[in-house]
Amino acid sequence: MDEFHEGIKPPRIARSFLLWFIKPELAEEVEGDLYEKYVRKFRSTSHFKARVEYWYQVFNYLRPFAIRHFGVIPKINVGMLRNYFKISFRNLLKHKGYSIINIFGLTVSLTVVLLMLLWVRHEWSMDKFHEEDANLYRVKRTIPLENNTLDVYAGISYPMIKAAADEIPAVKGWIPIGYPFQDNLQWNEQVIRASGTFGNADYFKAFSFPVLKGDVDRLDQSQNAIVISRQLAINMFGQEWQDALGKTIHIHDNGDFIVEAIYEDMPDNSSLQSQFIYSFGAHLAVNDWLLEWTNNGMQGVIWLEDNADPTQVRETLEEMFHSHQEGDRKEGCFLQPFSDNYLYSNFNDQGEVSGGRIEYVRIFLIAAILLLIISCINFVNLATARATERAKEVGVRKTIGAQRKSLITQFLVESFLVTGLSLGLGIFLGWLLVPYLNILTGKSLVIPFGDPLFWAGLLSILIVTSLMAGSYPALILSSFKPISILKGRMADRRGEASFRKALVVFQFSLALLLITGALVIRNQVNYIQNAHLGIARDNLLMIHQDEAISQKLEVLEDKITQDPSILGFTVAGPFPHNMQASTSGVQWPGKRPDQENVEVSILWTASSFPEVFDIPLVAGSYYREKTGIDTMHVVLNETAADLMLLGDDPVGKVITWWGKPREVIGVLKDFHNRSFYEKIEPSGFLFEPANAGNVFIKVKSGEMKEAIAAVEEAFAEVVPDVPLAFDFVDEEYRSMYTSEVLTGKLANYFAVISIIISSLGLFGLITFIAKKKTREIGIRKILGASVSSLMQLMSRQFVQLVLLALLIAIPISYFILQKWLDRFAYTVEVNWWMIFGSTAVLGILFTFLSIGYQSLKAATHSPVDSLRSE
Amino acid sequence: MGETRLGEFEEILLLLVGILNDEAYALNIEEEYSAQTGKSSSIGAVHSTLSRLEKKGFLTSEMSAPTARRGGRRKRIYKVTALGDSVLQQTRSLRMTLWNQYPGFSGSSFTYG
Repeated sequence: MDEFHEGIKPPRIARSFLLWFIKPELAEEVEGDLYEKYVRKFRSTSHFKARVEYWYQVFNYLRPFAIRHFGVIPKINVGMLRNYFKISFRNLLKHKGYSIINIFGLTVSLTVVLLMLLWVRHEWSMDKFHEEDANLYRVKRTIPLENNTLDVYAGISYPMIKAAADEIPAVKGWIPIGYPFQDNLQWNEQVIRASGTFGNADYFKAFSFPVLKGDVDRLDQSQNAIVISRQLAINMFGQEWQDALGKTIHIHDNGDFIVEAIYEDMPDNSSLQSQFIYSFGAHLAVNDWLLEWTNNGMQGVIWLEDNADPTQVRETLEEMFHSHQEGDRKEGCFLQPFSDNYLYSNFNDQGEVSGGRIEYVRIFLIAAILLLIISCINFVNLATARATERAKEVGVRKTIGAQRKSLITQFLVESFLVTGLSLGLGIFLGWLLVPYLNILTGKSLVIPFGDPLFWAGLLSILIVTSLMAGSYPALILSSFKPISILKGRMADRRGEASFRKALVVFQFSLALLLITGALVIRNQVNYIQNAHLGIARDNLLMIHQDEAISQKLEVLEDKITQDPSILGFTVAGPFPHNMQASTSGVQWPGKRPDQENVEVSILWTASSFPEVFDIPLVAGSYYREKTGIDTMHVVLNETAADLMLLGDDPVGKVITWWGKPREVIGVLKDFHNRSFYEKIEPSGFLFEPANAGNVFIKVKSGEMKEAIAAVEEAFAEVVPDVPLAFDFVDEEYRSMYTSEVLTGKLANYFAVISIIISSLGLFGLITFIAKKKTREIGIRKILGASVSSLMQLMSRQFVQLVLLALLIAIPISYFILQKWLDRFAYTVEVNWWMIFGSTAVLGILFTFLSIGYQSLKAATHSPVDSLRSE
Repeated sequence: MGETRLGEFEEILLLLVGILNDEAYALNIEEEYSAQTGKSSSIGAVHSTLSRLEKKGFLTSEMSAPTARRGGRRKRIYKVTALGDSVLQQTRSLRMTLWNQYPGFSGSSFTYG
């Protein structure tokens, strides 16, 4: 157990940091201790916790006894340091304009960095709190498709995961994962709407959801068992929530359940969120189709023994899986670490992880760091441009005997001070803004003021930022030769000026990049939200169809459609705009062997479906009956008709659906039945109104209020026992794209902030140049120069720099954004000329805004004033 | 003997060094401290106190032979010196005296430690 392990390596950065600051004579024992601690922690908990622990221990060695003597630090005496602070403060106060530009820029970008880190930290911590995390794996399924490509599905079959747990010794347990659904829970007169799903006892043994009271084993023993969260217990039973055990809850669609346990509310950083978990056995009892190896009706997690080898488990499981399949192109399976599922949920066509939410995490982390760099550039530029003003001070200090090292220290102290002030303001601002970030991201983040890691992180940000902003100016300022300074021969050296220009170009390139990014992302998000889908989505109400509704469907329809505000009534399921149900059990003449696993999406409908959703027929007709089941016929979409080679006249042709012949009676025009990341899927529309899934009600535009009242009235009369709950189809549709909408919004903020900070930097530079050129301009004016030619003189070089930045930013942003757009199967027709045109206009506009006023002021200044002092 | 006073943390660490004997190095002492007191500390905090105690002369230390489990790195093993031992004894007898005067405990067979 305690043997040295080759594969276990502590975090590299933390280790290097430790070796950098620790006294060399202590290095060996300390590193050894921390390493041993790391290995112990790694073995007893998770990789993540071990890393956190290592960092914690490293930062706890930042104590005077252990820190080595650095060359510079011992030479500073407190008196000098106090002097540096005093001078820095005086400088800050004396040049208020520059100080404000610097502090404002740094504050804003540090606030953004802080908020982004908060969010990123949260994303990274998702699902990592389970103590058994290292032993939990999601089982996923791979399907071989045409051209040797693979498709990855999270849905698996119940027998497969059960077999894994029963027959593979290294598998300790299994957990069924279902989509949480909203339902009405009733106890006595009390009715509460809550969301939950099925589960088993391992749900609470493998995952770290603490059980407060009761016995979760009952979930495996009794089909009537339900366990509820603390919050739900309080909502339901009020003060006596602790006595909830043994009480009977009626779930509207699923029958009666006895409360067997209460568990602590699932934390915010869990991707699983359920207010109640009822016995998986109960779910299985009413869904016996789940017992087939070919029906992939659930998701699942397996729980491995501590020393199990996941590769081996996977191979065994796949062999078992193969032995239950026929045909040559068998489906496979693989294991994904449970906590990876949240951030890495996308797979490429080879079945390898290709990204997921992690991409957004990376994009915003990078954007925040870029913003910080932009504001550091302001600091560098303003400090070096104004170097001449500080030159005398440097000269005098050097003459008195200051060494270069101590001058470097002085200027670093200055940048440290500015960064420190900004960070302080940034923390305050961040604290104010966290609630808005929570609204934006839908999380409940808090700044972890009590966490030593947070302060350690801030300290590192402070040090890195101060060095980034301060080291170049410190080097330049301290390099001045006292003789030339004091003689008054001080010119801006060539190298520095071009370095400044390069930085301005870099800064503006970044800002322009963010602007184009924001514009394109906004275009695409708008496109998704307003695209003509080929299927209606506005003014549609959606109500979950349960048995009681199904029995009275006709009466309900008659009653509801009588109201003038209602235009139509139909049922369909699961959800027409994102048809998740599909089957590979469709055969047609001429189907190629490599098409064996092609999935056809399914929607169960009623005859009024095309009419309510405004979908035109391109051939044939739709179902005519009002009720019943039709297993003789099928309606396809255009993509399906093309796939099945039905030709120009598909109506009347016969295909085999689930082993039985069906005649094609009609073809619906294609509409978007998946997200915009995926192509329109071949689909079949079946007729089974009694069992479709959802009731859809089409409402006259602008009469939603009247419609809802009418529906409520009809429900109360026809099905009084059914508690009514609506969803709006357009909202459901939008919720498919929350990440994209968030990206769009954040990209806007980033773009605006970056251009403002960059412009402020320009403003600072032009102010300085105008001041330096006062006399030159005065003389030129006396010699007859016009205001416009003077303004040109002042602004020409900046405009050139911004144009250069445009030239750099445009190809880079084109490349990056094209890659982003490629991930969608359908994208907005991006008018790149428009995008780049508006970016250019915005960039130049901001340039003029920032330099115009100062150059105009300088150019119109009376030469008498500027030359009088000579 | 004003210089020989011990803080609570120092006292516990000295005792732990004695208890752990040949295994008394910073990591072990820290883990033993958390296990025995239920409070959490850090290796750095323990190490810093140990080196202070060493400077005061209550502890000595030497490096052990390298072991494979630490990737070949040696560890520093601490030992309580005679001075350290006598300071511990003094602290103990002072407390005993006080405890014996304490109302609820005087006369009872109370063992400290």
